[in-house]
Amino acid sequence: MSTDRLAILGGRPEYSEPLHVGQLYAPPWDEFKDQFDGIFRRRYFTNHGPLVSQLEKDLSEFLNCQAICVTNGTLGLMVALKSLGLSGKVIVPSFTFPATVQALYWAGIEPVFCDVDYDTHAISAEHISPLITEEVTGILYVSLWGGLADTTDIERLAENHSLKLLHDACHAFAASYAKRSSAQIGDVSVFSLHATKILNGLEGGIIATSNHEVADQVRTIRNFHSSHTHAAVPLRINAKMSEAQAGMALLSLTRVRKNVENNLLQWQTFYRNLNDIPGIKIYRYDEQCSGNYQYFNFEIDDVRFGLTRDMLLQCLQSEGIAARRYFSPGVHNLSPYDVLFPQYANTLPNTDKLCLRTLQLPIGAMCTIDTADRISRLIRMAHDDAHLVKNQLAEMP
Amino acid sequence: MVKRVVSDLACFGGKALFHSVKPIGQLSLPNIERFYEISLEILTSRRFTNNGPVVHELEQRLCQTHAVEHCITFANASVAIISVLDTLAKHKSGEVIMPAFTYIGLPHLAKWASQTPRFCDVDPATHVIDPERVNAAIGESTSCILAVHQVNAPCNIERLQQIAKENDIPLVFDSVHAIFASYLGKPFGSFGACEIFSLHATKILNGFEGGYVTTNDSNLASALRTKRNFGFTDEGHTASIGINGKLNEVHAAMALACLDDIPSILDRNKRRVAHYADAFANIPGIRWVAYSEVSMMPNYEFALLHLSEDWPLSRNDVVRIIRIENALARGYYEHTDQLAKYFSKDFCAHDLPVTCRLAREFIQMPVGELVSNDDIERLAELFLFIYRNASEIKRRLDQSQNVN
Ligand SMILES: Cc1ncc(COP(=O)(O)O)c(C=O)c1O
Ligand SMILES: Cc1ncc(COP(=O)(O)O)c(C=O)c1O
Repeated sequence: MSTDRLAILGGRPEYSEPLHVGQLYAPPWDEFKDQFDGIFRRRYFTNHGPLVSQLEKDLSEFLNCQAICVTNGTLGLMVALKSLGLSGKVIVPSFTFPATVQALYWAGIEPVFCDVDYDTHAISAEHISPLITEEVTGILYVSLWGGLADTTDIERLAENHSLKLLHDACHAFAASYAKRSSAQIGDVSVFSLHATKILNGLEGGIIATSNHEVADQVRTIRNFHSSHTHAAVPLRINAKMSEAQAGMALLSLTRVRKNVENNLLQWQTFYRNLNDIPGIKIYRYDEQCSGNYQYFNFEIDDVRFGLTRDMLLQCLQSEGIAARRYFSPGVHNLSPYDVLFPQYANTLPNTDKLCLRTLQLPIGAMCTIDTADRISRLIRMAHDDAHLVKNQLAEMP
Repeated sequence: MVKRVVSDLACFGGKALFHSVKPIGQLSLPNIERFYEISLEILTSRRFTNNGPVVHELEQRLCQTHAVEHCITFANASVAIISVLDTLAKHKSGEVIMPAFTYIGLPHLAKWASQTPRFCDVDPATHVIDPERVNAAIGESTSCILAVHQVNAPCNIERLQQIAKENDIPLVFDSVHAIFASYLGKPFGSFGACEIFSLHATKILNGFEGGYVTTNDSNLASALRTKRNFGFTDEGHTASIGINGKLNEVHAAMALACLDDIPSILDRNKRRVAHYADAFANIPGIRWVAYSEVSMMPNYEFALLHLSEDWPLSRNDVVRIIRIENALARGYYEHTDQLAKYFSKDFCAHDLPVTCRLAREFIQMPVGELVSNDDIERLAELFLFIYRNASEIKRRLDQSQNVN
């Protein structure tokens, strides 16, 4: 039931249960049960069991390189950093999920924060070049919002400076640029199978690489087993994916294409409804990119829209819509990085601006085209009634 | 297959004694109905992870079981240990005092937390870290003491606590192998600054993969809760550097659905260990690592076999032979040489004479839900056969080695 008054102005909230950002696709119950009946029959619960092997095989085909499964994306990044032998300093965006930068800490590496390109939301060769010094051993490149930008310049730059290129592709499963899969960018790509992502393994991660030596290293680092390949590795950890996670991910993998299409329909609905609203700029993939549309991401120009991003967020939250501010603030402004590396304050203008302006809306299993229509309508109402909303918010404690 | 002649041994081409492998882990099944009941709710609500209701319930149940105030679950015990060391370490890059006669991963975990492992030798009778050596190892750069309970004996808890207190150094217990055991009538879980347990499928409580920390320190508990979730304090803001250490809901459901069966698991373990002793009683030169039942109520997780010095075949040969029979025994904590390779700077074999000796002595025999009394009797027959035919076996092993 749609109301004609915003909840923040006294209307009835659009949703009684909060609607979250996140894909949350799930398999049908009978398939889940079959999968787990099999696990219980085999009593093979973890330690690179048959379902993990199957998943790695299927993913290798899907991604067209070697795919190695791990506990989650963050541990995947930590293992990948070690497998590439990175040390000293690594160039990384601040406009990313904190785990990207935190992985560097666990691997004993200092971040060099790099600003992003305002349109792609990704670090660019132009921003990276001036940051390259003797101590820098690699670049940790992040692809956001389920798409991929053109990375040829960055790959060339990395090669010219003999830097390793690690790709945080946690958002970018099933994405490609000019027909090249997201797993083929740089030396190693890491994906997340967190339930909010397009491929759901409950939690989970994939380390993908075309380099056999690196793959051997990864396989050794991710566990303490003695029966596996014994590449000489600097350090090891338990980052094993269980059969339960792999079982879920296998069921999810068969639906990835279908779910991307479903995302796209919702995305297009938002796009059609919101694109002409003054002060709204919708994040779009490059023409050459085929993305997974797992985020609908847009920017608010408060002068033209009438409300700041945070005001709009408050409006939506009072409607039961848990829109998200990925990422606010940027990692360089988060504790303890703000204190450890104060030199980056006010040096990353694009990052700081995006952190203040971007917002993501729910897309995925919990949503439909109707959801997208209803949310869009509320955003248009917020724009139309901007001055009322502003006054109301000013009166709120 | 019963062995009549030496060539019946699988290592010489015979048929393996066991049709399916006999592992060394618990590998228990959940209450299947309960598991599916919780899982259906997970799939229906689409709450798959991120500190959900099933994790909450599991944490509460574990608090009760361990008689402790806080339980913080993790993706596995390794990530829990890294997080604990990172939180408690007194120095940014100091030393963590730990035993080497234990899980091979521990020194690696210290390194992930920017700490250097400082190994201490163990007591020859109980195999737990020697408190006086801990005391002697403490110095300017000591960050933490990571003491590990053995399955057969607890650490000298009082003495370690005294040393930790006198030197103002946090004391952490790796209680992975003391899970659901108790010390002087008190369940493990509330000793030291915190204790760490594993939910790995081979352990007594099966959560596929998983781990948890128990503590009565509410500051530590809240720091760990924050740390396992990227350091987030609210949406978008972090208090500290964190990690993804979250236990997902299906793994938590598994552990919950296994929890009610723990008393009978412990009972079965005790009988299994007793049956090993009975079945092997008439084989010369064999003894079992005794469970210290004076101060501890053990969980009887392992059956650890010791071959006398004059046994006609070496420990390693015996392990190799029986593994090919599909009994996946292994040398108990036999990896000190690998430690030397990894941590050569920190590892000094002559500082750890007891560890180095113990690492050559024991066989960790198959245990867990897949090992029946009948299997144990067949293993006893196999050992007797090996004992009686040792000289021929040895000759043929030497031959085949020369061929290779
Ligand atoms: C860009 C980025 N990197 C890394 C991660 C960490 O992945 P995970 O949650 O699987 O540990 C995430 C997601 O959560 C992410 O969005
Ligand atoms: C003594 C000890 N500590 C820690 C661990 C690590 O546990 P997890 O496999 O849950 O990472 C183990 C695992 O076998 C162990 O035996």
